[in-house]
Amino acid sequence: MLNPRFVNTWVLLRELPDLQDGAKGAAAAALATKLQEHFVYPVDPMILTPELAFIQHLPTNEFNKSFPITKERKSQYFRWLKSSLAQVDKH
Amino acid sequence: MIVNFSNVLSSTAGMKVQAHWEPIADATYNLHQPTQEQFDRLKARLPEPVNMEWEQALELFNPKPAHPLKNYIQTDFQVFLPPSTANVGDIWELDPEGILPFLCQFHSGATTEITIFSRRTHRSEGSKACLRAISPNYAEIVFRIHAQFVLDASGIRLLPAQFAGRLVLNRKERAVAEFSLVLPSRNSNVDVNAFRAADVAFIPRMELSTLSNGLSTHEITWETAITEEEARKKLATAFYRFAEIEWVPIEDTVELAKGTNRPIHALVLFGTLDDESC
Repeated sequence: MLNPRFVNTWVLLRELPDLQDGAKGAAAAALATKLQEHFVYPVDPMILTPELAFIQHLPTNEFNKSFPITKERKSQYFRWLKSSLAQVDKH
Repeated sequence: MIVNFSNVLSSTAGMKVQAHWEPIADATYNLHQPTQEQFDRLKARLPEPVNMEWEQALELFNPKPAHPLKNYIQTDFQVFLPPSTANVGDIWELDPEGILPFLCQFHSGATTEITIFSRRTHRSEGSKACLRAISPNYAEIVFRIHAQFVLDASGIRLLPAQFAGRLVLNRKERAVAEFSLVLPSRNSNVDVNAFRAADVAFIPRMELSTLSNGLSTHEITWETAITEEEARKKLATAFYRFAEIEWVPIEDTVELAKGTNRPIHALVLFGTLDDESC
């Protein structure tokens, strides 16, 4: 699902300030600003529309607490991705 | 083209390998460079006594190679070759016992057993190699090693992101033409663990390499080959399933999302995603 339905990227928290300052261009700066705005430590997956409207995020510590069994996490993450797509469609 | 690598390196001829290990240049919390006051506070919060002075700690975090220059024999490098036959693109496991002497050139506390907060983490462990290219005279193998360095008895540890290696074999002479083992130089590339705290740091240079013999192995004409990028991706995927995901650099993300009308799935992390540095 991730390859055909999303554009996937990852970034280090410590790189966000430089990116916001334009180190890799205006589009990356705008994206970094959105990510910084919603980030919850230490790992946070987020979904945004191509126009950078924030849809939802899944802070990892809370996620792991909610689903302590590793096997369960995969299906829950999949559900979260599906619900993100539904919300993007409504947007 | 299937090639048999059994006992290819049978010579006991010597080969010198040099080691470089630069000090930590940057870190998120500067755990490697505490002030005297910070160090005392870190020590005080531990339930067990720590027999270490502040100056000793500062020295420990920035070690130098145990052996700046070390002599190996050709058969030592057999550990990086496939156990029998292999084709370009094939992947195999490396024997941890065989690669340890190379890692111990950096530090005697090298180990391929990885622990995170005192707990052994089997899923982080492993060393794998991939046959990247073959010609009638040469073969090139790239490999990836996960290892850590236990710097002292109290358990101060450095966990490098990975070691990316390359070995060029002269098939005619049955000898190693070139060998290197490098910590990728990207910020952040090492996890620092000490006093029950963790930090992500940057070591600009940590590598082993053979002394130049005048041969430019990058100019070899290969008969069958995959690119180094493809080989590295194969190795990453053998370690992590998420490496199958097409990760786009952040600077290209918005344009691609708009062009394909796909939403953005972005991960923001404290440590690097596709290695062991966090």
